[in-house]
Amino acid sequence: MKIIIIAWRNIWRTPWRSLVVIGAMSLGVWSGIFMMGWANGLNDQRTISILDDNIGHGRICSRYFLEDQEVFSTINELKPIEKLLLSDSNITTFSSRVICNSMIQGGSGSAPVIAYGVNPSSEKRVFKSVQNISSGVFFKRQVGDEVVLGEALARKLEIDIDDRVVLTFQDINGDVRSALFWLVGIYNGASSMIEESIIYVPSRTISFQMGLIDSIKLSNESQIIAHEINYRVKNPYEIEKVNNALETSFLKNRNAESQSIVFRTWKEVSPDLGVADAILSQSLLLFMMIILLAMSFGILNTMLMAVLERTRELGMLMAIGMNKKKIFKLIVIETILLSFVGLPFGLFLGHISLLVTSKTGITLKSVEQGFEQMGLESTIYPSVVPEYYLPIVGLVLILSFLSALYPARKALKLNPIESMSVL
Amino acid sequence: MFFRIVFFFTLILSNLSLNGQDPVSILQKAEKASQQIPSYSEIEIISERPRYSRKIKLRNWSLNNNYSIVEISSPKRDSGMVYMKAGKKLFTYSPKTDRIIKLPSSMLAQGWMGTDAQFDNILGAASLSKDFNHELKLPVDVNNESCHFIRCVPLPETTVAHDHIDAFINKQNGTISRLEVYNKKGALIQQIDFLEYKIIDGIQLPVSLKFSAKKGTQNTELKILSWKKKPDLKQAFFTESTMKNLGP
Amino acid sequence: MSLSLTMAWRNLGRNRRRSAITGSAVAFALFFAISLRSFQLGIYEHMVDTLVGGISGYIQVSDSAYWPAQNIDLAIPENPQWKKTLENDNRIKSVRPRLSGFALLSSQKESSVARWMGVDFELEDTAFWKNRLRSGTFNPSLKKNIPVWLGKRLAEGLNVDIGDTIVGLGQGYHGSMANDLLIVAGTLALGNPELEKRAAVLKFKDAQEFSGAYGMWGSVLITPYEKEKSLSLSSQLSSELKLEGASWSSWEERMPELKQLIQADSAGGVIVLFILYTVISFGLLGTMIMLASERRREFTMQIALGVKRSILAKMILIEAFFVGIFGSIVGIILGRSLAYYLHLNPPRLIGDAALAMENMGWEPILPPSLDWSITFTHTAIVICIVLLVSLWPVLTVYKSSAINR
Repeated sequence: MKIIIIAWRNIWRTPWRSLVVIGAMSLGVWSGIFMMGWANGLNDQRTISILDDNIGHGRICSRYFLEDQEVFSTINELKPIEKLLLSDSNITTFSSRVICNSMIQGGSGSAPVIAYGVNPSSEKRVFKSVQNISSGVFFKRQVGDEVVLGEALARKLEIDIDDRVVLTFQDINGDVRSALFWLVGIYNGASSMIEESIIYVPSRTISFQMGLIDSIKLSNESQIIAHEINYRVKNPYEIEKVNNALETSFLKNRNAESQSIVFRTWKEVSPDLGVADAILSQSLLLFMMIILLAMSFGILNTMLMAVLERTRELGMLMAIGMNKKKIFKLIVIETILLSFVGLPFGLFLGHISLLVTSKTGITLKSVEQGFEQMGLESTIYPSVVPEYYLPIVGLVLILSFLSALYPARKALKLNPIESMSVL
Repeated sequence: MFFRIVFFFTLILSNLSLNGQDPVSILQKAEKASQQIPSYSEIEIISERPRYSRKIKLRNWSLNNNYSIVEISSPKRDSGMVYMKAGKKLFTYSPKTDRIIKLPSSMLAQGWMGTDAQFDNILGAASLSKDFNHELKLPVDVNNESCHFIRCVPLPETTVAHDHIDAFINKQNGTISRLEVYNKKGALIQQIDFLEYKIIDGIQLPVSLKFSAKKGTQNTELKILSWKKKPDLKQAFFTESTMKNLGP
Repeated sequence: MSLSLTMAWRNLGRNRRRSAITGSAVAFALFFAISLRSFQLGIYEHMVDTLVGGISGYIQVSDSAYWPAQNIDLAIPENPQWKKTLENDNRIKSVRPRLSGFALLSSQKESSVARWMGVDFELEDTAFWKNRLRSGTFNPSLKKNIPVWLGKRLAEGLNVDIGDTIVGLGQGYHGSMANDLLIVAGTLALGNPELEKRAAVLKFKDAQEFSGAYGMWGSVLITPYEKEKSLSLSSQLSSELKLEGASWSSWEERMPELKQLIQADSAGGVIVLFILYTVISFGLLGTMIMLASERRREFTMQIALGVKRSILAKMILIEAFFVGIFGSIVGIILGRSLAYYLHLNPPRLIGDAALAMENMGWEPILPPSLDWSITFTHTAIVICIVLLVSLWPVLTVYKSSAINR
C-alpha cells in the first residue's frame, strides 16, 4: 500500500517525465480512435455515395429477369410488394423501374444504352444521381415522350435540350421498334461511363412502347408494371435485417409462383462494393497494428530514458534498503497510475476530435478533382465510433504495461553504487 | 442496314412527268414507285475509308421493305454469307459455321460490313412526302442536272432524329438526285447521291448511288449490275431453310 | 564550430546507452514510417498490376489513332526486329503483342456482344493467366477448332459449359467478316465484373485468322521493370525505339480515372500517415525531453565552467543530427529488409475478403512497394523532426541559469 503512495509522489515529483509518459499513452489512444473514425468515415462515404447513385439499398426483381434480362420478365405481383414496402417503417422510400436495352440515335451519332423507365418523383427520392441535373429538368411531365441522359452522352451525340432522339429496341414480341423522344434534361453522373450508358424515360411511356401495357393512360399514379423495385432504408448497414424480414413476409402464405421474386441487398447487387469494404478494413487493420507498434516503441523508449534519468534516484533507494522486487513493483505501479490519467485523457481527445471533425469534415484540397471523379466530395467526415473505444483503450493499456516491464528489468540490473555516482 | 439501301432505291422509281410544282407532290411522285416490286438483283458495293477500300458483290432477293435476302458472292473469304430480314427480325447464316443466328437489334444501328449503309437510321419507316414539312427553295444544279430543292423538316411526331433533310429532285424526270441529312447544328451528317438512272425491265431504277458520311472521309458506292422483276416471289420464300439453300 | 563537433562526437561515445536509446527511437520511427507507406503504396501497385498489367499494359504501343476507340482497322504490321530490340533492352521486362475487336458470340440460346482479345500465350506471364483461369484448361486438345476462353460472367450469360460450341460473328479487319465456330476451353476471372461480362480470349494466331488481320498487331503491351516510371519511360522509348505509324502511351494516359482513384485514396492515406507521424514525433520528443532532463546538470556545469551557450546549442544539434543519421541508417536497413522480404512473401488476406478478391481474379495479397523514393522522402522527414525536437534540450540550455541545483 505504501508503495502506491511512493509511486504517486514519484510521479508528481518529476512532472515532465510523467507528462511525457501520459502524453504517449493519450496519443496512443487518440491515434487508435481517430484512425478508426477516419477510416470508417471515408469508407462509409464512398460506399454510401455509390449506393446513392445507382444501386440503392435493396432491390427486388424477378428471378428470370436476373438470368436473362428479357422484356417479359417483369415482377408479377407488384401491388402486394408495394403494400409491404409501404408498411415497413424501416423502409424510407422506394421506386420501380422498367428496363429497356436500346440503341439511341441523335445529333450526329448513335450509341447503345440502357433506358430506365421511371416514375420521376419516386426515382428522385431513391437515387441521388438524378438530382444532379446540369441543364433542363428531370422530366416536365410524368408521362410523356421525354428523355433525360448524361452529360457525356449528350456530348458524344452532340445534342442539347429540346433536340429529338430516336430509341430503337425490342418489344415484348421480340420485334424491333423505334420511338421518338425529346431531350428535356441532362444529368451529371458519377462517371462518364455511367453518363454514356444510362438514360431515363417515363416508365409508362416506355412500357407502352415495349408492349408491356395496353394503354398509356391510367387513372392513378402508381405503376402497373416493373422489372425492378429499388428501396432505401434508414441504415444501409442494417439492410440484411430489413431485407430478410421483407422476404419472409412476402413469401408467407404464398405458392411456388411467388418464389420467383428475388429480394437482394446492395451487397448482393454489387458484390465488389462489399469486397472493397472488406479489403479496406483488412488493410486498415495492418495500418492500425503499425501505428500501435510505433506507439508502444515510443512508450518503451520513453520509459527507458526515464529509468536512465532516474538512475541516481533508484540507486539511492536501493542503497537505503529497498529491495529489487519492490523497485520493480514501484515502476510498474507508477506506469499504471500514469495510465489512469493518460488513457481517459486520450479517450477524451479522441472522442472530441471525432465529434468535431464529423461535423466540419476534413478537406483534402489538392485531390479535389480525383475525389469528384469518384463521386466523392473532397471533404471527408470521420464517423464517431464508440464501439471501438473499449478495445483500443484496452490495447493501449496492455501495451503500456508491457512496455514498462523492460525498463523495469533494466532498473533492477543497476548497481546502487554505480547509479549514485552517475552525474 | 443494308436492306434499307436496297429497298429504298426500289422505292424511288418514277417515270411520271411532274404536274404540280408543290413539294409534296414532287416528293410523292419521287417516292411513288416505291411500291415494293419483288425483284432479284446483283449488286456491287465499294466502300472507301481513310485507310482502305473494299469491294463486295452480292445477290439480293427482295419482296418489299420487310422481306429480303442478301447473299455475299465476293470476296471469297466472306462469300456464301446470307442475311435475311423477315418481318422485324434479322437473321444471318454462314456456310462456314453452318449456323443461323438471329441478330440483336443493336447490330442494326451499325454500318453493315464496313459500309455506310445506315439507312435505317435515316428514314426508318418514315416517308419524305408524308411525315415532313416542306419548303420549296430555289432550284439548284446537282450532278449537272437542274433540280428542285426541297427542304424537309420532320413533323414533331416523326420518328427520325435528324433536324432536316434536303431533297434534290431532278426536274426532268422527277427522280431523286440527292438527299442531304443535317443535324441541329447545321452539319451535314450524311449525303446520298443518285448518280445514274436506267430503265430495266420496264422500270426506271437508280443504278449507281453514292453514300458519304463523316465529311466525305467515308464513302460507299453502290452499283446495280443486274436487276429483274420476280413476280412469283412470295413471303413464304423468306425462311431459314431458304437461307441455307440458295444455290447459284 | 569544430569545438561543438568534437564535443558532440565525444558525448555520443561517452554515453553509449543513451545514444543507443535515442538512436533506436529514430531507427524505429523511420522503420514504421517506411513500412506503413510501403504497404499503402504497395496496395496501389498491386491494384494497377491486376487491372492494367495484363489487360491494357503499363506501356502500350499502337497506331496513333487507336485509342480510345480501339478500332481493329487501325492495326499495325508485325515487326519482329523491333520487338527483339525491345526485349533485349534491360529496362523492359516483357513485350507482348495483342489483337482485339468486337464480335457477337452466340450459343444455342443466347447471344452477347463481346470484346475478344488475341493473346500470345507463349510470350505471356503464365502465372498471370493461371491465376485467372476459373475452369477449363489452357491446353485443350482440339484438332482444328478454335479454343476460346470466356469471362466468367459471359459464360454464364451465354449459358455455356466447357466444350460447348459458340459462333463468333463480327466486324473483322478492314471490313471483312469475322465469322467462325469457337469451342469454349475455359472461363476467366478478370478482376472487373464489367470486363468479365464482355471479354473473350483467343490465341493470337487464331485471332488474326478470325478477324482477317493476317500479319498485324493490334497493340503491343510493354511491361518495364520499374513500373512506377511507366510514364517517363514511355515517352523516352517512343523516341529511342520508334515504330512507324505507332505511338506510345502509358497507363496513366489511358486510364486517368484509375490514376485519380489512386490519388484520391492516397490522399486519404496521408491522414493515416499523419497519425503515425504524430505518434512518432511524440516518441522522439519524449526521448529528447528525457535527454534534456537527464543532462541538465551536465549543461549547467558546463555553463558554469564558461562554455558558451551557443556552443552547447550547436553541440546538441550536431548530436541530434548524428543520432538521426545513424538511427536512420538502421531504420532504413530494417525497413527495406522487411519490405523486401514481404514483397517476396506477401501477407495474405484472410476470410471473406480473400475469397471475394480471388473470385474477382485478384490475388488476395498486400505486397509492400519497393519504391526507393519512399525511403528518401521519409528519411528526410524523420531527420527534420529529430532536429526540431532537439530544440527542446537547446531550450533547456538557454533557460538554465548557471547556478541551479
